[in-house]
Amino acid sequence: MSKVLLTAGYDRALHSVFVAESLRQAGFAPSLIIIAYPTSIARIRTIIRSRGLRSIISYITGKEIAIRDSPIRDALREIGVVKPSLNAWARQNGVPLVMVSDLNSQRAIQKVEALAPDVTAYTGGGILRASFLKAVGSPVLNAHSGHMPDVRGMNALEWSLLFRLPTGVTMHLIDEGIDTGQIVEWIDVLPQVGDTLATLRNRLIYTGAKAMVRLVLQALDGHLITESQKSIPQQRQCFVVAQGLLEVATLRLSQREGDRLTSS
Amino acid sequence: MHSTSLIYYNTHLRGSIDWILRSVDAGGGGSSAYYSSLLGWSAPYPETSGYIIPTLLNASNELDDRSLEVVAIKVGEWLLTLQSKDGWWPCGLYKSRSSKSGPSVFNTGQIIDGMVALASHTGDSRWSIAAIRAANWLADAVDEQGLWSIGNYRKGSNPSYYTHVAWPMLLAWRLGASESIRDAAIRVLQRIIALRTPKGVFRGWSFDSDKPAFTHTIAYTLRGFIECAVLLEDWHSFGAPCEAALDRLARKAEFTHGRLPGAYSEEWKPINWYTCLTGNAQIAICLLRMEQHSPDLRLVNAAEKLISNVCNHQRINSGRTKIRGAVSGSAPLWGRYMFMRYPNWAVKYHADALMMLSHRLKTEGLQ
Repeated sequence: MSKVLLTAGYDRALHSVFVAESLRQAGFAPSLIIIAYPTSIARIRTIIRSRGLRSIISYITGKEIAIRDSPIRDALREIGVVKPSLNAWARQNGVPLVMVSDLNSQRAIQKVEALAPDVTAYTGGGILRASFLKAVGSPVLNAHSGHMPDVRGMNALEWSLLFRLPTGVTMHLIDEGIDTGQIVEWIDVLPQVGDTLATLRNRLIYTGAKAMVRLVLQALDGHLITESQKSIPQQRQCFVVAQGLLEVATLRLSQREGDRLTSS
Repeated sequence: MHSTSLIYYNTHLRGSIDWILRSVDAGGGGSSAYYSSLLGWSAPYPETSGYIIPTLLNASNELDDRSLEVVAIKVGEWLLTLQSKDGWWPCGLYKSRSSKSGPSVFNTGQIIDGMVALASHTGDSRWSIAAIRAANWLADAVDEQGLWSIGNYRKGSNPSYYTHVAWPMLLAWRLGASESIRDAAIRVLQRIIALRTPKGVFRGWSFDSDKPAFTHTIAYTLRGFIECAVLLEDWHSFGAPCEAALDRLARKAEFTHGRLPGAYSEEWKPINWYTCLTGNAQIAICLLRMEQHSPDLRLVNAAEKLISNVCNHQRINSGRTKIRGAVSGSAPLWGRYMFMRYPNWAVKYHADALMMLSHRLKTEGLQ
């Protein structure tokens, strides 16, 4: 029997619930879900820096402010998920779910070793260390909201705009580096009129979640094709975009909309 | 629509320049070295008054305030009265006409910066004459190994941040001084290049060889190299060797949201309990200068975080005029660098960094 591991960053991660339910409907429900909940100060700090304080507030209050307009919400309704919670989903489907403070913790690693997954769908949970990857011992798929290898690290959408690169999702395997693993495929996601960074990001996440389901199934089927990243000398990692450059990224997005309107 | 970031940075620039103007008023000619809540305004500092001049001239343009040019010229004229017959400027703070201070290699270099800026800005030959005389003194005093035996901050010590002296020497050379000045500056640079470790540290970049280096003197060292690389059009020899250190500092700035450790050992062991705000602003400038050579917005991002962090510590709306717009040497104020004081050079570098960042953001389309 094929074994799929799903990782997530928090209980109400819509895209994680979408992946879990979509896989179940395809006949390959995850065998184990591990949520690395942001309980450590270091992880909370990282999340605030990468996604802002609002994201933490939304986790706590359950209001999901940042993903209110997500197309995943509609997609979840379409596949019959009323309550988007991994805990609720796992209980309902009899899938074991483990909460840890860090995916690289001994507890998480023991669970992974015991499962020996055939493929892992990474949908959040922080940076994976060598110890976790070794315990998994099989492909770990990730959806990265930016063009790899040019955009490595955080705020991938903003950096794609800043670098004047196409917007979209890179599906890739996770290795020990930050977004340095083998690329599986690139999916274009074009800005639409009226897009904000938040709405475009939500579409990228939805696109990545759909691709994740498809590629997990491909991997289980033994048909996952990857390509090594071309080496870019002195490639620097991207971090959370500072305020002035965030304004530039927003400006670039509006200019792309303008370009699209002009060309059409 | 106006960029909120540019408005924010401009407000901090105006606050910085207003504080510098108050420091010049308090200094009675030059800019008072620092303000301390305990000790009040200090005596004026020739060294930093010198390199405040280009800041005032640039800000005059940026803020569309011609009165800043007048102040820059007044500061320059005060400095002219302090120049020795041999061309050097004295060490330490200015006490009085009657007090005798010996020559200072570092101060002379920094004041050349101001003289060259005034020469370029006004076209008046008295500034270029003063700059070239000073550069000649520096070149005559440096030996074949690139060492000065007189005019050092610590007797017998030629720190690596003397790259920040080679730079103004080259500025004077570009102004029309002799090739011997260029050659002397290159000797200094080559001596310091040889002190680079595999980890990108330049040994001896601290005030005291046995103590960690404040980011202030680390930045002096790196900036000196970068500016010399630009002036000599030789990035490979003098700019590239700085890239490892700057990349490391840029990453650290990202991880700490713009708060670098106050000092580092020569093995890059950080001293974290305070941050050196002056150094943070200077490192931001170095990153922006490196980015001009090798465009990469990731470097601008790190620089912006450093500058924003300094803005967060700047007392821009303080009811106390003496610290309104001031930047403390360290954060917290009781940090080891310029303990409990607001130095004029912290504001100077912050203002320079703000202007560079704003220009860079404008080239990306912000208005």
